[in-house]
Amino acid sequence: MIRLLPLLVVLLAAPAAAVEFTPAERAQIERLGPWPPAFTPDPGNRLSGQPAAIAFGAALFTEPRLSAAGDMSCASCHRPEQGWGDGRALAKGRQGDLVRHTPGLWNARLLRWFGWDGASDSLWAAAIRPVLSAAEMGGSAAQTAAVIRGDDALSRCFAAAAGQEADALADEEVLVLAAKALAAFQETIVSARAPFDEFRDALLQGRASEYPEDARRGLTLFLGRGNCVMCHAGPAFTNGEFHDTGLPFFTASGRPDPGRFEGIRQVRESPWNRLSRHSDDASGTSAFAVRHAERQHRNWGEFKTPSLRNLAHTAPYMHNGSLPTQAAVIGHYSDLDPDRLHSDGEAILRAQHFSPREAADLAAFLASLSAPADARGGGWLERAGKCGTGE
Amino acid sequence: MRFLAAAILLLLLAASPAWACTMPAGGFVAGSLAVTPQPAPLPVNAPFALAIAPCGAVPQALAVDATMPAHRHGMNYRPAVTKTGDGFRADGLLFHMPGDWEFVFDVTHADGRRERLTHTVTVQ
Repeated sequence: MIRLLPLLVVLLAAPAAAVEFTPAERAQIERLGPWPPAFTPDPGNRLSGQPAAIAFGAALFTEPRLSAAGDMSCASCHRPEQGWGDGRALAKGRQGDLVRHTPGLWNARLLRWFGWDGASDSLWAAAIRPVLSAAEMGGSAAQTAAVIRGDDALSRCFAAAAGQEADALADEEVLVLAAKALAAFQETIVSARAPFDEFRDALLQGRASEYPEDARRGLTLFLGRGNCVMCHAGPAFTNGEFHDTGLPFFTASGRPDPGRFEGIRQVRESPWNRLSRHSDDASGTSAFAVRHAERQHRNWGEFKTPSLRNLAHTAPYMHNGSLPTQAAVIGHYSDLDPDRLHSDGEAILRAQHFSPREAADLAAFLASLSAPADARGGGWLERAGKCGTGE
Repeated sequence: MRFLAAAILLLLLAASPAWACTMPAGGFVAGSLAVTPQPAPLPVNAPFALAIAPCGAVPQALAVDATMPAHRHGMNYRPAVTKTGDGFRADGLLFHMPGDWEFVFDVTHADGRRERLTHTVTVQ
């Protein structure tokens, strides 16, 4: 026994065997890239990808005069240095906390639905919603149009972006074009390559990689037993759809949040949806989602799957901001209460009971989805250029 | 006797035309329907359509749906089925998850008879 003791010590101290991925796992990993994806203009937004519109949108993004009291802009809640969120559990409205967490804007252009409940089906419609919401900016089409028409710089920027003078258009048209410029700017908010992307590309090309072993083990869990990839799929690590993840149905005020159930009603009735006359897609192809979205009972309490890219820069987490850290999120799925899930809902989630090491491995993998370069936040508005000057 | 045999053969042909289905390129056969996804192969998390060619007589009506039995959910989108010259076209389908999906085709034949056909595909 004494002779065997050193061997036992060596065995216990030895690092775990290097993670090897099966062909099926490699295929799954391939589908999590490439990053960044190529830019495809939004067919519903004729300003999409246009430099003049991007610069105008950046100017509007920080424009507080679009709000009723002149004290709130898009950037009040979507702060670049806070991962395009506000760092708060619940978004702050004009009269206190709102009922949901401010969603980040990273890679928003890749989504099909916008808002936690998908009440908008385009980035430009999503830009209109908070401007008009009485609980948020409390503005109006008339106010937006007046601000643009009454400001020499903004009216020049509008004309450069839209190819039309704001004075020649109805208030509603000015609002929609301003929102399309805001969307054009937000389409530029694409996260930088993360350590995972370097690993993925190296793996597929048969090159060696410095990707840590704990992140590899976490990736195996993410693809396998954890079943995370079922919803956090594709290069953006989201399927962009809606799920009940076992969080409370009730808001802080005790009222239920219907989530996607109400979101479908709103997007169908929205005068700004892709089926409306405001869409520039004459083919109607991009209106697929709102045309075919089906409201089902199980949509009650479902919320959109968030992207996992730049997760490290976007705390707190979940639609209600109730989980302050990534560790808390992993703990939530580890100890999931199956009784809280819809009895007639999806049968996807179950408590994972991760061991401490598994939780740490998963955390290491999730950390590898964040781009260190994006932690600094700033520079986006500046890179969009200053509208009206061609800079 | 020959007449009877021919009649039986004709009846068999009319009643069960499934065997006559030719596998469409990139598609599949579900009972009496030859189904071609557009695009093919079936994508995950992107919209697709189905061109559905009956192997025998064109049914009076057709409804299309799909579910993930293991997950106990269907699609988040309701397909729209239109009649074409020689069959049907279903638009507005989207598989929002990888895995096994079961297509469900509810066929109403010209004589009023109803039939449910299913076909399972694995998408990645």
